[in-house]
Amino acid sequence: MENENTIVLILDMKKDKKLLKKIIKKYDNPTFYLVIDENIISLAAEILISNGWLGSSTVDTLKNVLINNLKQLREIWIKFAKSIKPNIVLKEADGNIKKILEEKIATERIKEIIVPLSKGYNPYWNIVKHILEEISKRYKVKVTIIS
Amino acid sequence: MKRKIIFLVSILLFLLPFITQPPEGLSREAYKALSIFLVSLLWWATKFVPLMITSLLGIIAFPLLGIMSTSSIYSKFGNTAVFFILGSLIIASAMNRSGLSRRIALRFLRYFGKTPLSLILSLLYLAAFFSVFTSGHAVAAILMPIVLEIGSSLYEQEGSETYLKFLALAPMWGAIIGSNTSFLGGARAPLGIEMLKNFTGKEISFSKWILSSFPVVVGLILISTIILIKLTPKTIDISKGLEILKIKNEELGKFTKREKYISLIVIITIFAWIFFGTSLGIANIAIASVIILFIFNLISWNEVEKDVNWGVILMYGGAIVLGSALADTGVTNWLMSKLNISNSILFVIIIIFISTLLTEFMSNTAVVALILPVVLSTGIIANIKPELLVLSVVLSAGNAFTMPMSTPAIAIMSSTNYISTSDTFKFGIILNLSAIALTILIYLFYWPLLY
Repeated sequence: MENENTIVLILDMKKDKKLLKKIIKKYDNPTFYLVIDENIISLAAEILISNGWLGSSTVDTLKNVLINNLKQLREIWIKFAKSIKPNIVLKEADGNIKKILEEKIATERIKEIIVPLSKGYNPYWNIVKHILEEISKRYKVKVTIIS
Repeated sequence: MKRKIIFLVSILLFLLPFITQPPEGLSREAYKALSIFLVSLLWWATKFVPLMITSLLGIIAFPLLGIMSTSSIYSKFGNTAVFFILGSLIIASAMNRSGLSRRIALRFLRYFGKTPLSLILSLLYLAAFFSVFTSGHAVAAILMPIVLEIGSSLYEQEGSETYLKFLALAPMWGAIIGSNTSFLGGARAPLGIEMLKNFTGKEISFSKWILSSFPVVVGLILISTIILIKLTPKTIDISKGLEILKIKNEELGKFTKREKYISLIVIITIFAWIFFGTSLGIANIAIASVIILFIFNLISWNEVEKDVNWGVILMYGGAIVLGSALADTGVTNWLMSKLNISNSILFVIIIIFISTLLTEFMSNTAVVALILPVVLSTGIIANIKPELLVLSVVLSAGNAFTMPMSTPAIAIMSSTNYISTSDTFKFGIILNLSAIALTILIYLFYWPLLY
């Protein structure tokens, strides 16, 4: 049976066998959401070039390139996850990450959001963490970061 | 919380000249200028506000605190360096918009990158070559999509992670190293030259700068090559990546008229910078080329507007204002009197170390803006040739290899997710130490032959 009280948010689509096995072992069949939020990627691209003299066209180029890459990585991640746990519950979502999470919290009584994360420089995460902090406070949802 | 602390410290620093007596030997005006300098340093280092806004603070604070007149401050803003940077940014925009940069990159990689190792080395050399003519940041932005296109063909191959790592590191290193070669790789060199002119009336020509930086650039490229030869996996199958390169090359089509004309203008401009830079003025040549680009409809203002972060012009202008104000009010002389320099070689070694260290945590142009005025005043009194001081600070400030926040070249390549912070740090330290050693050796044995 699906554990609808816990969801796992996959953001960077990095294949980490150890981390995935750890989550599967610790949580009772959570749903994995593979989310790509165009606006956050655009903001992340702005952060990438914030120290230099590149303009808005570069932000657009980087955003499009990063989105395409993430989409490709998401497909590969799905194959990878299914090779580890064939009956894993996966859901793909594109759009506003905040709205997606709020909707899930409202309809599926989510109590905990798990975010697997690799350490290091990650402007995408630097933006998402503020969204998760806000969601955690407003809806009393526990956010657990696993790295 | 962190912002509140920075704000409070800033207020305290601002009030310091009004509530305390100036240190011995420092006038009241100089004390106020020092406080603005310290606030700017704090804001630049912590990014309390965007970098360009910090520069604006300097511009308004000096007249408002009665340190310098408004007209004097604003006249310093419209200097040669700012117009040279403006011109070179527009020329770079034309090269990118026409597809010329991407064409050169794809052709180069198709021709030279036929094996796993040669592909990685081609990316290193291509990025270094490009950065001689355009900013290192732009080079990283041009090459990153190509890196991802090639890299994506390797995602499902076992053990491709190490190869992908070097696929991103090679162009990143090339862009950083190559950007030190000429005035076009970044704003650091034009800014340094402008400060040199303000302080001493001396200049370093476009061609002499290339001659001066060349050994450091070549040395670092050699060291990067050795690292890549030793560590790149050579047995990985890159046939799919080569196929992508072939398709992308075919998609380019014929060399367009726009690309041809822009190539011609770029070549003539570089020729003029090298051979007539001193007599005609590098900024004049850059602006003349820009006008020609617009006369022949080779670029539109709409394109230029989107390609350049215009705020950085404010930053460079503000940096020059700050440097000049520190010198004019006597702050640099006071600082110099506090530093007891008994050994000029040791002094240069220290400034090379400090510049290299600081550039890992803040914008490399900000490092030049903050350090160079003090170093120039101090070094000149210690009988060190000012040109050598400018070269030491500017080249060291350009060698940001370890932290993604230091330069967009690292941040952009890190966004591929092929490299981790520990990768950039581990190899960055090797390159940083090599750069420091090379700069010291060249300061001791090569630059004295040129200056």
